[in-house]
Amino acid sequence: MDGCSGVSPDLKAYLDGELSFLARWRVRRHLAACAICRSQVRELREIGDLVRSADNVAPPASLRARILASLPETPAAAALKPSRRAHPPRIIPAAARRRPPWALAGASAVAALLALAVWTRVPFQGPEAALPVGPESAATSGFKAAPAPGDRPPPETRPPVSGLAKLRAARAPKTAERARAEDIAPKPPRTPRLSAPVPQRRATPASPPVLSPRSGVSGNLAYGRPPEVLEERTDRPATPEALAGAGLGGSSSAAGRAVSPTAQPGRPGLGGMAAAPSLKDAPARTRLVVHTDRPAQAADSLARLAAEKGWTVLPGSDGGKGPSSAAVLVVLAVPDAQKDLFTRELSRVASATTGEGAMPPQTGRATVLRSATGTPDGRTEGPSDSMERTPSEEARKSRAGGDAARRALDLNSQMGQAPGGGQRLDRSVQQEREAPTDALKTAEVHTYVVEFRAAPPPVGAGRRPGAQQRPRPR
Amino acid sequence: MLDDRELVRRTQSGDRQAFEQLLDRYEARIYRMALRATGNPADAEDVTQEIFLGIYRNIGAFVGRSSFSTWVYRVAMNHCLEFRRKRRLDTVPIEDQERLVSMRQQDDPVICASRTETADRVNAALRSLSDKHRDVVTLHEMQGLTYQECAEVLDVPVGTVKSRLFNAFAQLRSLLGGRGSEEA
Repeated sequence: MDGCSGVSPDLKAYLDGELSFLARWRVRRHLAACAICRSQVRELREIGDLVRSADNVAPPASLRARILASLPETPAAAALKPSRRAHPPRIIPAAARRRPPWALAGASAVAALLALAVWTRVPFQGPEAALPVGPESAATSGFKAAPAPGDRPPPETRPPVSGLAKLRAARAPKTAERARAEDIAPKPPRTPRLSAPVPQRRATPASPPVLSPRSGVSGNLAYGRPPEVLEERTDRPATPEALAGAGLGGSSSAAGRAVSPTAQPGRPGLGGMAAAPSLKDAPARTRLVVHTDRPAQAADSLARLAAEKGWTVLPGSDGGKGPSSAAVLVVLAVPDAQKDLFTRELSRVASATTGEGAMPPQTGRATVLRSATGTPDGRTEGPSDSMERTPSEEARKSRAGGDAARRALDLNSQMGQAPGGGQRLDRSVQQEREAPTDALKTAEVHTYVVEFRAAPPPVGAGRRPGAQQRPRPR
Repeated sequence: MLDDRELVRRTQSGDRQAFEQLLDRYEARIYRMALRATGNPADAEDVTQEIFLGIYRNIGAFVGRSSFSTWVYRVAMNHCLEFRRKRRLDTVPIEDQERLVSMRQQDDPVICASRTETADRVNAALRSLSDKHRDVVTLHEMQGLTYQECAEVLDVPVGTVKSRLFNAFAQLRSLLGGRGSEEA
């Protein structure tokens, strides 16, 4: 009968009179209608009677005298010489049991770590970025749809809009209202916040610390900072001037200054490029910052690799011939089908140009992280889509606390050599077969702006600038 | 007749007769509890003696925050747990265990035999329970403690007592089968 499973655990307590008034009333009402539970109560009562009847043994008559003979003269005298076997009880209700101070401190530390982990896992988003970007999101989430544009606050009262948020909004399927809003306003329409507010953080001007400075491709989710590496869509070639105008990357860092000589300080981040209505059909673009010991050599290797793979090196690339050895730019057009291959090859290039020589891929560590990226058709995909993680990676990621693991995915796994990575490698090979090099003409193309930077010193190492770094002991 | 608190107060002041009255009140209950815990009359006697010795020695620490019976059961449970730590129940030979049922001389032999058989079945079922489940059955069903008192003695939440009792009776029900209603 319905409800038996919910009442059954209470039947014994009901029989013992240990239920609250409401619970007792609920059980009684159920028993009035359920013969099965009534018989169960009967059985419980009979079993209790049996158990009690089996416990009628009496102690031997000599026991009392034996106990009295063992007692000391007075309890006070016994208390002066406490027995080690005596167990003075401390009856403290379990609910009011006092926990040691370190337990509270430990719980606080765990809570703080969890909060930090959650905070750092949130990608850099403006206040509007957490919102569903299309009306179908509100429909599927069960929340009310976006209010009319007239209900929105005036643009000048809005908080600054981040480039990524604009990007997401721009790549959402366009509706009539949105198209109308884009026609009348330069900023994309926004929907009300349906989730918890995300503190808006801006890209810090300082160059981010590098977890594995000798070989790493850092991205915008690293270190829990605001994303330094952002991606934008543009119909213009990703020239250094364009990058500078967009404010890509840490503009005040050495590398950022190297590639952005014409940076306009008044432009807020990436907003200007994404908001241009004429850019909506341009291919998606991802900017990656690669830390390596030999940026020029890495850029040259990538350019040669691009020639082998059939990827197009776009104007704006230094091609390994740039004057600055601190940061070299390579702009590539890669078919979407070869994203994974590109990522692996980039990691290999980073490893090969780090350290004394070619670093074995089994031991090298490179981090390739990206924010959510978009495709020209408006499809939005996150890092998990573009970089398929194996179960072992997921487990390691959860063990390491999320963000730290995001910062340091093993190169092995990215190259498909780790356990569980073979399947992805096979899949990428299959993708290569399905997407030949002439896919540039027909398929979707993703533009990668790869900036090779000289590896900065590790965080907190306290080394002098330019000091020789030692390989990290394994 | 003096209540427990008054007898405790007198015992604390050195009145040995008051403690003997307390002993008379709790001796049988504690002995049965020790017998359930040990499964052996000889060990039960030893444990019972230690329990009352501990009560007598530490009765000065009883300040009355709980009932004296709860305090006594707590002392007894501590001793039983210590006994289990030293020697597990399953090391006791089954033939050494005394039937935990008393037969009055005037009872009909047939009835006595049937009662003994039932008691054997119940005792075997109780022995098959885990220590936690057996303890809560002993305290609640045999000693008559409330859920709250069981929780204080066992140092667990009341909800745990409730769930343990429910699970213990579910096991007893399956172990005893349909014979329970027939014998009762």
